[in-house]
Amino acid sequence: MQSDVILVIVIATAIAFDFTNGFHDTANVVATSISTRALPPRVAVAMASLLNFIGAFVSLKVADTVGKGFVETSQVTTTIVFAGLIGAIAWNLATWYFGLPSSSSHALIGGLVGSMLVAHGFGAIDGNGLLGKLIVPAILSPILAFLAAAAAITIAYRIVGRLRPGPVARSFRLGEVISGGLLALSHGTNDAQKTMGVMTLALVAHGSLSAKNFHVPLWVVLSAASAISLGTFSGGWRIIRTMGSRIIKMDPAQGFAAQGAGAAVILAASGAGYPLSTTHVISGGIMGAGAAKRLSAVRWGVAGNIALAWVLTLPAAAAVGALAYGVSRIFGSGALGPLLISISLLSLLAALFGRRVRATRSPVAPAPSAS
Amino acid sequence: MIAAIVEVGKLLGVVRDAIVATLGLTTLFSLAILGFARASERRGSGTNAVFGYAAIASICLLCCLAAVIYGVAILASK
Repeated sequence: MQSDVILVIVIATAIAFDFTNGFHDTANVVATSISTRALPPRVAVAMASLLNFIGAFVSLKVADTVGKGFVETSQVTTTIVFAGLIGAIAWNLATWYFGLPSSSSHALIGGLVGSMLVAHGFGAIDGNGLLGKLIVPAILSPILAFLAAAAAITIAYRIVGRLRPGPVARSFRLGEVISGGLLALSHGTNDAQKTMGVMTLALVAHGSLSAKNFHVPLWVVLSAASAISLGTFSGGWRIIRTMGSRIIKMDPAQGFAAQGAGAAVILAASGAGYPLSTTHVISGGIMGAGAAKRLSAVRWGVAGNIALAWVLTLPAAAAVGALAYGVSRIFGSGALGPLLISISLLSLLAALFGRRVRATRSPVAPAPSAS
Repeated sequence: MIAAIVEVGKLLGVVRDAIVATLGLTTLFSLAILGFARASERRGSGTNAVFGYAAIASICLLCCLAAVIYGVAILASK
């Protein structure tokens, strides 16, 4: 009975994480289309939301890697998965609050590794898997997106450079509908699968699924797809501003190249089962498209802040995951600890939203009249 | 040591696929824009060049769409 309650809490927390992942990563998917005026914001967000949902059904290789690739599956408990999710959600909310586009994916794996470390020590972590399937692809992917976007925009300018800019911009805006759609699809494919992997891991820990026959049930795919899609629809306007205009000012051709490179990198990696950060990849693409035109066009200070958030993500989420596991164990191995932590997190969330709503509704002081 | 841990072949495959897809799609789409622009410039001249440019542009655009569908289909079949 106790383990059933914990499983329900873990599944609910995983779905909540998936929602925050979509909410947090909306910027990755739509910022470029919006800032270059290829699509109106509402249309861009609705399209991204739908394609996120469809993308979640395209492949399950990333879910397999997340479920089996980083930690010793046989030693995972539902409380460990719960604590890992708390670490990821807490880090996602903190970076959302401060407007920093960090990686939800690395937060998820960081949180899981942190709680696993406290529970079973280093022996339960697959260091080779962590290095080979997460850290090396994480370092390579934004560099690859940077180079691919830079090469793409160079080719595009070479081919259409002598044409009248007006019609070219209009054509690339149309192209951005396709590249933005592909990016949304790739986001659903890679990011929704991470939550599917974690939910399946919880089912294995609970004993509902066998570790030897690790497969993602259809209801898990459906619920993860719906959660990320709804999260994307809800949007994250603060981060959209950072991604869309504060890194570089883009023209439609640059937007097309950045989105195309990002989508190609994420889809190719999803096929190989690598859980990438969509945030890292699209930021790399945006910077590549900007730097190829003019190095000074990239606001390297903002890019530096984003890089700092990236570096901090794994250890910070791991620390919160470890803390959440430690706190939940104070209340024993039952459902009380996870329940209390969930209630505390929900209260914190309500307070944060309340503060944000009050801040946006505060009246603006009237300008002094010139009497 | 890292080479033993990292699946180099698999990673290189990702690099190859991503670069080919990005550059291929950008080149095709840019050529389509160029073709339509040239066809539009020559619309009043009444020459066959209009149809030639429009045909090349249409083929490039179709190849672009076909490549996107093919790529997603490959991913779904893995």
